[in-house]
Amino acid sequence: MQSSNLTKHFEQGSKNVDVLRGVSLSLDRGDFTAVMGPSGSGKSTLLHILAGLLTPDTGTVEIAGMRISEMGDGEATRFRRRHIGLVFQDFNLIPTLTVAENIRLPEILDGRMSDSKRTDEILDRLQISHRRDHSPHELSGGERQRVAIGRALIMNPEVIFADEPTGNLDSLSSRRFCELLTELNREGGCTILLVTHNPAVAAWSRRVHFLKDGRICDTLDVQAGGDPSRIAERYLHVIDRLEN
Amino acid sequence: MRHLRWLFLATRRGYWRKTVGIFSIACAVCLLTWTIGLTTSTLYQYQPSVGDVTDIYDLWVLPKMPAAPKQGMGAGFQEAPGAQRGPMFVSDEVVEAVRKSGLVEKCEPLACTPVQVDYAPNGIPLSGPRPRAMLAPSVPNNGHYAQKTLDGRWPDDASTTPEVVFSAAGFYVAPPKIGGTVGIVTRSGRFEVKTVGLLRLNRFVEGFPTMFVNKAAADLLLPKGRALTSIVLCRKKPGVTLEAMRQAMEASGIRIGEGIALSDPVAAVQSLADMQWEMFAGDAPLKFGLALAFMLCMVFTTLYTGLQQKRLMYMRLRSVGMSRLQLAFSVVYEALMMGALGAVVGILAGFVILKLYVMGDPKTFPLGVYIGPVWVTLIAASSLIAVLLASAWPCIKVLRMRPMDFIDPGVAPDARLPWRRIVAGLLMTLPCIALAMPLPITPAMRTGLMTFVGLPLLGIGVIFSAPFWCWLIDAGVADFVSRLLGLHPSLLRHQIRRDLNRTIGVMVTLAVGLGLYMAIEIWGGSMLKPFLPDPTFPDMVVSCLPDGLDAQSVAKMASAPGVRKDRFMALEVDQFILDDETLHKLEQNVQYDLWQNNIILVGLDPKQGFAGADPMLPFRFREGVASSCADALASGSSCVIPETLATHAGLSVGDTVKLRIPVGKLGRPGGKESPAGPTERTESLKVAGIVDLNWHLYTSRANMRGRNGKPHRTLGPVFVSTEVARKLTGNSDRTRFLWFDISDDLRDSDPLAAAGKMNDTFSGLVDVKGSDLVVKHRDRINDETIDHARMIIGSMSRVPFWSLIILSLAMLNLLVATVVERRRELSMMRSVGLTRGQFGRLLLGEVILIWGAGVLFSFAFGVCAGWATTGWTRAVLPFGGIPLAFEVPWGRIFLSIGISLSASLLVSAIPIAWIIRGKPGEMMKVE
Repeated sequence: MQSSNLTKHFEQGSKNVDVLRGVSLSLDRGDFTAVMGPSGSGKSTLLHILAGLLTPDTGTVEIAGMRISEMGDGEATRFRRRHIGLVFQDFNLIPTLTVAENIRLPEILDGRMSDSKRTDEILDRLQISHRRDHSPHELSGGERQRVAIGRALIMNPEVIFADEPTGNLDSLSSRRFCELLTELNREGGCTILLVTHNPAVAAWSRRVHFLKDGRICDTLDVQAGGDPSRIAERYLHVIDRLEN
Repeated sequence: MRHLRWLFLATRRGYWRKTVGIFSIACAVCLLTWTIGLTTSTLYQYQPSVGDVTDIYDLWVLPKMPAAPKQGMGAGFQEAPGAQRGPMFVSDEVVEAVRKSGLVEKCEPLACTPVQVDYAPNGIPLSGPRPRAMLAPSVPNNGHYAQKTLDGRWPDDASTTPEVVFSAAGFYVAPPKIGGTVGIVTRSGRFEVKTVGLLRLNRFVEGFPTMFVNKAAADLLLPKGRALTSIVLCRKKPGVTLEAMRQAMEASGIRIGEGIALSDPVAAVQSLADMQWEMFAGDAPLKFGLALAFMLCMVFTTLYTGLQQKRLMYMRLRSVGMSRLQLAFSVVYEALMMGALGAVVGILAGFVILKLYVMGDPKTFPLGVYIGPVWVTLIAASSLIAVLLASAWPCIKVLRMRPMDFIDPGVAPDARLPWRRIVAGLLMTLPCIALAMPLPITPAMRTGLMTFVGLPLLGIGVIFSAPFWCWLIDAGVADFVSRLLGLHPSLLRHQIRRDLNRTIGVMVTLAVGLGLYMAIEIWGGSMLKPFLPDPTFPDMVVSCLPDGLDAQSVAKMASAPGVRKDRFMALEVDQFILDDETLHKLEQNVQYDLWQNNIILVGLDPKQGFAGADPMLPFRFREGVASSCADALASGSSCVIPETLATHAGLSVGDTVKLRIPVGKLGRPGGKESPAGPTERTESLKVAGIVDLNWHLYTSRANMRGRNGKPHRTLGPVFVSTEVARKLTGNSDRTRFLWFDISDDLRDSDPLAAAGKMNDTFSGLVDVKGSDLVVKHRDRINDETIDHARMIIGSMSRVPFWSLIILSLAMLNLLVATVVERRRELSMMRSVGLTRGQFGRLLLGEVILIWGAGVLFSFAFGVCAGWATTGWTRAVLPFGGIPLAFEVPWGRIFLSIGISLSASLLVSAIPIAWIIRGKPGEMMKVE
């Protein structure tokens, strides 16, 4: 994924708020990258633009050679359906669908016939096969997030974008979730971009970009099983520096 | 209150939702304003319009018929033979008393004669009876009467052409054109007169003439001899009051109120006003009820949607200390704000529409619009009461919820249906259905039970059963609709059951219009069915009244072109009162005062009518066999009776129908040459057969009823042989009624044209000598019956019909609720690949499914209510033994369903287009 010089502003009443002020970001295949920043830094906006959910004011986004920032809504939607996986903080499962159907949602929207083998594989991998025919309201928070990952994986996406995926999970579930992401990245070669304000989560990635006031102000390469406290320290240092 | 206002402002959101609510209230209030305003404006015009009719006359004397006395047996019947009736004229004594009173400066006795106008605008006869006119042989006030409203000229006495001036008030369609000719039907026959003028009057005043003729017309139309005064037009001296006039006349020995009435313009206006209010009271409950139900439903869905929309806000406020009561008050505050705004907009809109309507008809409304402050206040108050009622359930919901309850607990859309409540609801509809059956209870008891038990239980019961219809649509149709819209079935499955309360709210809102419309149409269709002329009657019925035809003329007509060979039958028809024993049996059976006490005796050729493989009268026999009945009728005093009479009187084959036969010249009651002794005898007829026959409107339109002072209401035809009938009527030589079938060459013609052709043929063959020869096609009677019924049904169903379009606005509330509640879910779906087109179809699918549930619900309600009201009407109205029919006019039902669907789709189209236009990321922004 390549993005260059992304800017985005929003109108709030009579004010214009510049959320992104020229962000350039690249991901190679197999990367596991985190974007950290304080509240209002533009992390979610950046992720939405990269995933094709928003159009930037300026700049371009390319995924697998396709310039997603210049696609029309229908084309971008179909591209997103087939090439991008999305995981949200709120899980956002559809209550009227079963677990299996929630995982298959991109396929359903794409009008594809049922591929129960692929669905079974994902259910097994996520260790929720026993919940296949249950409704979301019968699952725990951790299980729901796993279903959300399953939904993101069903179409073998080029990249997975996760927006504060552990925000509604307890620490144990968060840890398990991060282990799963790491496993998918290492063994499956899945490219992952994770947005978080939690250093403990960011530590699971291999690179952390720090975002403040709509700009990437620092980048930290992280070793495998990185030390969260180091990331946190670096994060605070960046904030202090900018404020001074 | 200040903090409540702050709370309201702080939680103000959902402009669309509130706009829909305010618009809905405005529509309902507009309807109320229009309904009331039209009545009050009409009343406001009465004074000048009555003044146009009464002209210079400010007092008039006219005969007043006393009320029919109760006589015990058959007491509900008004015209028992031999009963004394009041005079229909003003005696010379009264006229003299008026003149001698010294209180009037003008006194003009007028002799007005009632006639019928045989009028066919644009060549198309009017449906129903002919218009009547009160014919005056001279023009009051020396020919200066109502000058300012006269178009054309007054009739010229010097002219030898019969000339006439009509009052336009007598014609509910366009009046006759000046210069054209019109047929006038009197007891002497039918005559053509020339219209030379038209009075642009739009009101009747009782007793005043509506038709003025010249000498030539008077000689033609009026009976010979001195005409009796029917009204005395007076102008009082200045300062004289009506009371003074009454006292003066009573001093002369004239008892005002006993056969004579005094009236003036004030009394005339009051009388018209009373009639207008009676008409208003006739359909006002329906319109008011509909308007209030409409407001209730729409405001309820608006407030309920608001609860969902502000759920999180309420949670936060409750968490920081806002009490339940304060929160409930904010709901009420919102309701009252919407109610107040809606009422203001609605009243203004209603007034403007009324003003435009009135401006378009200055003739009828010369004084413009009038709607008093009292009515405006009542309308506003009723709308506020409606919104308060509508806010009751949302308030209760808010009062019962604790802070954390406001967080969406997670929907279990496949949760079990409340089957017990559903079954209870279905059972609650049974009393209403049962009360429609022919039960042995009085009409008063039936009305009471229906009003206080049946209908309320029906209303509650259908609402309780609403989840069932929801489930039915979800289980049966959701998949189909998904595939129709190109969506995977899983996307629409269970969606309408996610929030049952909201879905039911929309269903009930739709049912207010659609369900009520269906109920009215089903009622109308069911009531109409027994009145449509039976297809087993012959094609044509001929009446020649009052004098009939001789045998030679009948023979000529039998072989006329257009008459099918051997399918021509002369009839002997007259009405006879039933004897006391039979009347007693009838009263015992029906448990209320009888409205009818007579039958129409129809004498015919029984062999031609009932015998053979192809009888002329292929009536459906419920008891007895046609061929045996033919033999029985031919051989003696046997009869065939209709099922309505048999049911009413509890008669079977073998029983006896007893008639009271007057004895005297020509068999007429109290005939001049009655022999000394009893004036009646009893004749017994043995019932040989009972037929299922729709005879009501056929016998009415064929002029078989109400002749020679006989009542119009009857228990039905009783068929006997011609010989028996003639023996009882005493008429041996004249034929007044004929039946025949038309030949094949006329069969494809329009019924009216065919009847007209036969009329011309017969008129060319025979000389009716002043009688009125009328030929009517059975199918034409059928069409007239349907037209008349459609007029009644149409006027009742018009308001629900239009409201079902406006009630589709409930879909707007539904869409707002859907998007607000499921914002995150929908934004996620957009993110993972739901295109705009799919999104739009998803919303559309939900609209269609909820609409479908609403249609099922409405149909269930319509069937139950239609059936219940049919049975109720049949039991309380005086039609006598009408079978309980149930007819669903599928054409109209499907039309209303189609219109409802179109309206729902139309209302939803723009909001859906607006909702789906956004980018997924914009949808995900925090509220």
